Order: sequence, then C-alpha cells, then structure tokens
Amino acid sequence: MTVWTGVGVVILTVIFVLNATLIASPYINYLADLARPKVDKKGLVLGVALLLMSVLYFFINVGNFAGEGLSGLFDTNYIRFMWAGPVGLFTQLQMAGVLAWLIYCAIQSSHLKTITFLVTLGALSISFLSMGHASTAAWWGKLALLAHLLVAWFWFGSLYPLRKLATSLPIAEAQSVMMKFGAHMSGSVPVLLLAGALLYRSASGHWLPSPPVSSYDIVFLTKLSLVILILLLAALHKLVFVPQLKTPAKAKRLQTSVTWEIVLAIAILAIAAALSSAFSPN
Amino acid sequence: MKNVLKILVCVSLLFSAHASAHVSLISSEPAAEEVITETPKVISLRFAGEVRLAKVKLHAEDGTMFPLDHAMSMTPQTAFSVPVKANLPTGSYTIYWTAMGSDGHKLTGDFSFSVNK
Repeated sequence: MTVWTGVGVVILTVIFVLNATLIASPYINYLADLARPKVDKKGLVLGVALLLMSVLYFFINVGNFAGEGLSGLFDTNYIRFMWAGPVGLFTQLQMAGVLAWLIYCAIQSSHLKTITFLVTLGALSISFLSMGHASTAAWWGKLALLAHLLVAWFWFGSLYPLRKLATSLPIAEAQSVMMKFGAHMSGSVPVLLLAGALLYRSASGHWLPSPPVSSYDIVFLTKLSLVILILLLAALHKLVFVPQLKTPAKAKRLQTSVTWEIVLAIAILAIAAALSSAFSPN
Repeated sequence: MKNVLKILVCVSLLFSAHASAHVSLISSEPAAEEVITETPKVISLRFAGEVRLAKVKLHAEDGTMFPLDHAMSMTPQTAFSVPVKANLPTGSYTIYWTAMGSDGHKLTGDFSFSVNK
C-alpha cells in the first residue's frame, strides 16, 4: 500500500462516516420525534464537509495516478482522465447527492423534503456501485452492496445521535427510542449479514476464505471479527442495558458503551474502505 | 429435503458469476525478455480485461527515456499500440505502464526487451 492509497483509505472512511450520518439523520429525527429547525445548519455543515471530502478523494486519486508527487494532484491531463473513469463518476454522484441534501436541509415543504431525501439516498448509494469491486460485479453483487450499505448507514449513522439522546432525553423517552431502534435493527441486521456474505462471494469467488489465504482474506477476516464484536455489543445494549435504563447512572453507562460501539463502527468502515480501494481479492 | 437441495443448487448457480479480479498484462510486442534486431515501430500491449492506459514509458538501461507517441485512453480497451518515435540503439530497454482497471484501481507493470542490431 502506497502513501496515496493509505490517504485514500482514510478519506474514503470519512466519506463513509459522513454518508452514514447524513442518511441516518432524518431516521433519528423520526425515531425520537425531534422537531427540525427551519434551516438545518448542522445538516448543511455535514453536506459541505462531504462535498469537500469527495473532491479531496478525487484529487488524491489524481495524484496517485499521476505519480509526480504533490504537483501531480493538479495535472490537468490526469484530472480529465480520472473524471471520465469510475472515481470521477463516484465523485459526480456524491456531489449530486450532496446538492440534493443541501436543498433538503434548506426547504420546508414535506413533499419536497421526501423527494430530495430520496434523491440523496439514491445518488449516494449508487455512487458506491461505480467503483471498486462492485463496479465489475454481477447484478446480485451490486444489489448486495446496496443492501449492505443502506443497513450499515442507518445503523452506524444513528449511533452518535443515540449516544447524545441517551442522556439528553428524559429517561423513559430515551428508553423508548432505544427500544424502537433495537427492534428496527433486529430486523435489518440479518439482511446486513446475508448481503455481506454475498459481497464476499461476489468479490472473491468463494463463500469463505480458503488456503492460500490472501491479504484480502486477512483484511476480510479482521472485518468479520469486528462485526462479531459489534453484534455482541449491540446485543448487550438491546438485551441488558436498554431494559435497565431507569436511572441517570444507567443512562451514562449506556452512553459509554455506545461510544465503544461507535469506535468499532468506524474501524469496520475503515476496513471496508480498504477492502474496496486498496486490496484485490485475487 | 430434495426441495432444499434443489434450492441450494439453484442458489449456487445464481451466484456463480466470476469473481472480480485485477486484470493483468497477458502479452506484449516485443515480448518480455525478447531480443529483437531492429527498432520496433510500435509497442503493443494486450490485457486480460478492459483497461484505460494512462502512461507508458520506455527507458534504456542507463535511465535514458525514449519518447513514445501515447495519449491517455479515455475509453476502456484490451489492446493498445503505442508508436515508438525514436531509433533505439543496441541495448536493453524496459517498458513501464500504468493503467486504470474498470473498477478504478491503479494497475502498474513493467517488462524488458533487448535490441541487438
């Protein structure tokens, strides 16, 4: 892995996190029945941050291909070359998604909000089909990636707001929100796991890593270990911490534990970014 | 039980499409390690899948770079012919190439040949 690909993986991880935060934000508002401000300033800031990161990711890829150090970042020939390729299409779709998101944050009409959110969701999720191993996958591999992304985004993107809500809402209300979230995720996580297995099958050609184990397999197994850990932690929250959420001390305990879930989620997203951009299944 | 087996077979067939892989250079003219007696008019590269060729460089053993008439390919192809603009004196040469796979990943490689006039 070169410095360029390392930096690319870090930026792609931030893009994953921002995509998840954007997509889950209306869901959390719905779940906690939170009133939205007239203009969602935090949403606008998140959108601008995603725009900047997408553009930066594009230029990092330009620099990687140009191979001329930092000056290669602005090589117009390579900018044109990258813009016409999968990374260019990814950037264009991310930009379209952000544009729809900025409109979503600034308007009041609920019909228009629904439309702009669906455009955001569509553009951001389809952008990930344009590059990496999914771009050459069969239809079911692409479908699996979409399902995997959407569930991961709603789950991981909800964690930070839920962490805040654990102590900012009245305890009974916080418990109700956590229980609803737990119920939704219980239904969605099997989809996430099945889609993940299909994705691995699509990328590597087999269902499980088999000897000789490649570097891609090792990174995949690391991701799988973290997924098992986060599932255990999520189960602990759903079955123990949330039912016991009756006092401020228990709310604080849940908040601390959700912080660890966020750490695991970011680690999983970083590995997913590495798998899709820095490692080859073969 | 038979129905379960039938379903499993169908599912296996459904998901039996090829795995994605990074494509590689499968042949070239001059070929790797080939000794030729005159300057090649073109360098031909053939890949296992469609790529966009970004860069091709021809270096002599002492590091001298010889110009090639190459423009970045904007559409994916499997075969490329790159004209050689200079007369190559007797010696060893290395071709360095950089391409973009259909997944957007960077692919690089090199091979050497010799001219013995």
